[in-house]
Amino acid sequence: MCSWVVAALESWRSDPFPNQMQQQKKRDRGKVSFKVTLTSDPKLPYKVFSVPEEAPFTAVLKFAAEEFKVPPQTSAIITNDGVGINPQQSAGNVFLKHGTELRLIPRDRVGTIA
Amino acid sequence: MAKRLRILSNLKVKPETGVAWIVGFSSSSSSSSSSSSSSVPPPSPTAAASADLLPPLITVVAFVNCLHFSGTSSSSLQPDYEEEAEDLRILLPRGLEIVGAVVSSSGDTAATKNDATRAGDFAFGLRQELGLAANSGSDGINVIAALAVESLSTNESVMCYSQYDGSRLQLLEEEIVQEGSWRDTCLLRCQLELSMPLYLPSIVTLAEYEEQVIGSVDSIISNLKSSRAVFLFERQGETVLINASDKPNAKAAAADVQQIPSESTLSSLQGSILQPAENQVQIRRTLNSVLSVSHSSFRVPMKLILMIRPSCSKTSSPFMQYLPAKSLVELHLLRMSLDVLCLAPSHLSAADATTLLVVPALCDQLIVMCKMANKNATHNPKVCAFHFCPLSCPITTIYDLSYGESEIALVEHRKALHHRLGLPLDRPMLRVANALTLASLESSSNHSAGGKRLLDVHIGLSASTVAGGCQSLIAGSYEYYHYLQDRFDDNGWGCAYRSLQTIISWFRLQHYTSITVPTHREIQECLVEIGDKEASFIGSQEWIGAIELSFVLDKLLGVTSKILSVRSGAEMPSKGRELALHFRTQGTPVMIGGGVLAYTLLGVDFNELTGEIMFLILDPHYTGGEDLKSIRNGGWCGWKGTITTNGQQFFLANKFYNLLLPQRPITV
Repeated sequence: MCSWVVAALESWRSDPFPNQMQQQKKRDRGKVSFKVTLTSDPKLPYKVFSVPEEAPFTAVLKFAAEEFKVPPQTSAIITNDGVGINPQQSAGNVFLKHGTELRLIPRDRVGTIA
Repeated sequence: MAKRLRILSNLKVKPETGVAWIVGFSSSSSSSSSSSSSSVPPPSPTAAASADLLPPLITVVAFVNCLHFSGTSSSSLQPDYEEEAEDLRILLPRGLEIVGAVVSSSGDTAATKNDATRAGDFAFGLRQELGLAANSGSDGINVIAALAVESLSTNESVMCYSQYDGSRLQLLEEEIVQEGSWRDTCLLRCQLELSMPLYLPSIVTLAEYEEQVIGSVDSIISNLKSSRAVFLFERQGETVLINASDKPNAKAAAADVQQIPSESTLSSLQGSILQPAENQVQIRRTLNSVLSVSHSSFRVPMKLILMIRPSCSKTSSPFMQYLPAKSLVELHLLRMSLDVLCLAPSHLSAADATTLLVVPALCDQLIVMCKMANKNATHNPKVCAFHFCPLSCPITTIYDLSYGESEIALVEHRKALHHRLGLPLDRPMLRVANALTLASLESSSNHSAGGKRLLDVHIGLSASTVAGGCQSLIAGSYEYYHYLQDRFDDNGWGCAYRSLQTIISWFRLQHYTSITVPTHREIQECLVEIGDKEASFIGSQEWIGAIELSFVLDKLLGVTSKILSVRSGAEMPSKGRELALHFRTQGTPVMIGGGVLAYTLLGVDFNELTGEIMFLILDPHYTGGEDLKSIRNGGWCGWKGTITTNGQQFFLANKFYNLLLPQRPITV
């Protein structure tokens, strides 16, 4: 088995719920983390971002869009249950209301072809 | 002599708190037995004599849960008569009384007599607190003591009624009627808009505030009760002036009383003029217009307008009055909208009705509004009374709207009312948007410059062609918004806006909100306000999508939405189960955005076994007029499968689609 798998297993055995502990620690330091999955890609790639609590959530949106190489103006972030998130809140607010698991989706713009 | 009991057939009660009050009215049987074919003269001596032979009739119209209890142990629970009386005085229209009480009982024979006696005692206690006179009739005071026994087989309670006069219980037979219990009564409605000036220093103590408010309210009450109050009865353009005075037979108003026309038969609307006996004028039932609200139909109430004559009878030159103030004061206006509904038996004279029913009701509302204004002591209070009819009888509530409807205190107030009336706690039924507009019989639709919009264009469509499919459709009503409505040219860019307008109209018609449906510009302003778009967006013709709709719904209505993101149009049928579940549980319209076009989805027909699916689509790209036939024939509202009639795919495989699923707010 590759070394990182072994290391992951070790850390899992010692601390079965690392996310909660880490996030607790991160919050205490004033940062919140989000795991954002790109749902438009069938492979469902994801990235974890850590931002200060007071940062506007638009920063997370921009970060995620850049990392996934999609334009931020035509992307939006929703929760795992599909609830839309207004990016005009602080990252801390979003963390409290919706948790850490989020999805990045492309925005539709509709009209008619004239 | 045992009374007769009449109960509406659809009345159910489940006393959640253990005790509920029986609301009804007693009528002398002369009015109930009279037919409506001829004009009924004032009760003649012979008619009155025959009336004594029939036992009096009590009609039960509603059950109201008791919320306030004194005493802590559950076995010796006593209702808190004072609090209950205070609440019920405002809640029920005058004319409806507490005729008894219901206690939930276990049903064993040993406990039933005890429980029934308890119920009777509770009813007596509350009637005493409310100051209700003894029941007229030769048999003295008695109330209905009822037991609600929960049967384990069905989840309903079995009711058992008896008559209680303080010592003896007598079983009563109930007569269940479908409707028509309002036949012999007349609804009166009086509205009063008061704008009281308060002169308050900038830093005001509660005592000063209260003193001013109570002083103004007292003066209004004394005006109402004095002989200077005159009521104008208005009905179908006819008006009658009645003096409200203490003595029903007062001759003072001889000069003011005019003759009131009465209808002589059901079919004729204008009848002959009835000669008033002295100053007694009879109130006639308005037979032509009927207001149907939920299960019951009421007559349209007669409007009363209050006028107060000035105190000095001699005419003199105008004069100004001034009051010295102790320090610098500001003028604040206390706005109170009184609105009383009274239920009067038809044989009552107009003067009696105003003295016995309308004036005390106005005074009660004034006192409660005064207390409410004192409690909040805001700088610009706005206290209004509203009528609702969630169940079988109209009720009145008073709301303090200074801070808007979503204020926590108001939400708690509404929740308590829902508990009291046994209403479900997850949907709004007592918001301002649900209030009865008794003035006209038109429903409050969104009349725009372009004329009325079509409602529910999908009803009556031919069925879809999915064999063995299960239809899941939108619940409730909506208005059809599409291109070029209101003479606004949004052809080519406004389809998502129109879809949003359709969705907001659904929330309006289901009474979740009372805001007007926003125009394109207002939608754009909202998006700029929350920071999603630049300021240059307003007035432009830019396209928006499902995400922007979710932002606007959240901002304007407080509604959260779920977004279903579908990677390719070919995957749309796979969302069939999820969409069917949405329509079954939420029932809200869905907006589909993608592939450059926006649609509103009103339902799906999904066969779980074969996976075959058809979508009920409402197309906002329609540019014609409000013609139901052309909308249906042109396919602007219809069932669409995945392959259209041209052989094209309805949902394009190379485009992604976002579906907006608005969630019903679980709110009261």
